[in-house]
Amino acid sequence: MKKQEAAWWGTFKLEEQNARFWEIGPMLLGIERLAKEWRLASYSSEDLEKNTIKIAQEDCPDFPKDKLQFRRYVFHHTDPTIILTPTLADRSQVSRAETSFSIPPDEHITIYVSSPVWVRIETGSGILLDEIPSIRQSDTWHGPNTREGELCYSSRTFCRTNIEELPIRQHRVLTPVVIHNHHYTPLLIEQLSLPLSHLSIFADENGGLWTEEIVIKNELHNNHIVKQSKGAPHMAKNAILISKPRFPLKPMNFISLFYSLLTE
Amino acid sequence: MSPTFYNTFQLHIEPILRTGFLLIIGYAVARLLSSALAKALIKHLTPQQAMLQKRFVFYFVMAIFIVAVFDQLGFHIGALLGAAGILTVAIGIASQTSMSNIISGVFMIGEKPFEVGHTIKINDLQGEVLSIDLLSVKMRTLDNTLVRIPNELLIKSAIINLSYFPIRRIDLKIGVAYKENLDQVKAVMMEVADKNLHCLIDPRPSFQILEFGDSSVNLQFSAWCSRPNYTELKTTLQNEIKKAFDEKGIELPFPSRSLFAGSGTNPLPIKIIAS
Repeated sequence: MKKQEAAWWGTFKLEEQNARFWEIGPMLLGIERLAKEWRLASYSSEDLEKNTIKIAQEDCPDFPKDKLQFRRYVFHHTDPTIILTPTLADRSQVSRAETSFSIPPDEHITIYVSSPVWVRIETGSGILLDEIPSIRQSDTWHGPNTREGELCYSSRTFCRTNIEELPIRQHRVLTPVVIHNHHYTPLLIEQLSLPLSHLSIFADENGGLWTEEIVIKNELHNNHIVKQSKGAPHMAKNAILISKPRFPLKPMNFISLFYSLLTE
Repeated sequence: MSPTFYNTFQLHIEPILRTGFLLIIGYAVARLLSSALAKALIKHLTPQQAMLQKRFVFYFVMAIFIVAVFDQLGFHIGALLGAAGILTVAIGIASQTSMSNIISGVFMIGEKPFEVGHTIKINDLQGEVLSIDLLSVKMRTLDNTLVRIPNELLIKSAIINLSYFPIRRIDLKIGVAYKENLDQVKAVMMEVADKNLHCLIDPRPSFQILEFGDSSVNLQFSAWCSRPNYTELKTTLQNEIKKAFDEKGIELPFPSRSLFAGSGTNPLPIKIIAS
């Protein structure tokens, strides 16, 4: 895994009447500070492969003006600092494998599933301005039928198994998913539901973003046991916590919540 | 103060003042308690449950104070309840419609086919439920008018609850020309649905050939969405399908009629009768 550019998140100082621009993968973000208001402009490109990370003070990126989304936040007096934090989506994400695969009995594998970051924008005094997804994802439904289940975001994944093949993308967060098949029949994996709102984000020494590791055990009688590891996964070297989960889960709740995390 | 005035005050005015005071206090306590309870439980209950709890607490507290008032006035509560029972039967016979509505209301509350805040459809009426009362249900229609529907009518009618399940299906009925390749039509519609972010990936959209119509092959395209996005998806999907069909040259035919003169496809005989 190669080292990435400088991180796009952190605390930034902005003088009055000044603006700053971020290119975070497919997302363009502009923030302008006026005496009494903050102005935000954002755009999400359809080019999902775009992997640029850039922060510019004067060179305004080429914003497609007709597709820009503008927002204004009015204050008595604006704070000179702005804080950008990567965060995860507010719903779970169903990642469909580009090609489904089987895990033979008594085998275990680790697959890496990525999710797009959301950008959390706060003032220096801690007032939340907005949370903007770096890409807009399609909705999908995850549940046993159309009455029970939850509304999720949809994503496609290559389900890579080799860590060396993973590109470092600061606009996507990697989740290692360890799957143990303790059943006597092969386990077919077509899609995985990641509980993003319960996961944290860690940044490793190369600038890569990670969540906690998730362990799924497919037991006899098709019982699925799901566990979430504590802290950063071991493959994220010298990782530091940069974003806490939206809704931390108690260990007991975690197991009951993910009854349908894995779809055969 | 003369003894006569004192006696009159003690005999007549004092109990009236006391009962009046009790009623005012009772009303204030009932309002306060019911509102406080509703506020405390609002996070844990649905709007309908909160409203029912609030009303129950209000009437319960008021009933206690009214019993206390009758006691103060010197009435015998047991005899009063007996009289109230007879009176209830008499009123019930005299007001059958109201009683029917009340009983229907009790069943409705128990059965819970909808709740406050849900969007429902009854006969030709569609709107958001504002309140479920003992006699009627009040509904705000889409054009912002208030409709009061008696509970008796609700019990007898089919109610369509549009807010019951979290996701809904949109069925689009589309006719395409006979010359079109239906596999291509299906692929175009699926691609449109795939690009629309409100259209759910799972359950997958479905494509169905309904019939060979008079002027077109009639199709049904069904796509799923989350409940709040229903209207938007219905509009955007139809707009995008129309655009995609125009781009691919897929014809959406008008109703047309072919005339035959009885022998295969020979042209109609034309005879010039005047120069």
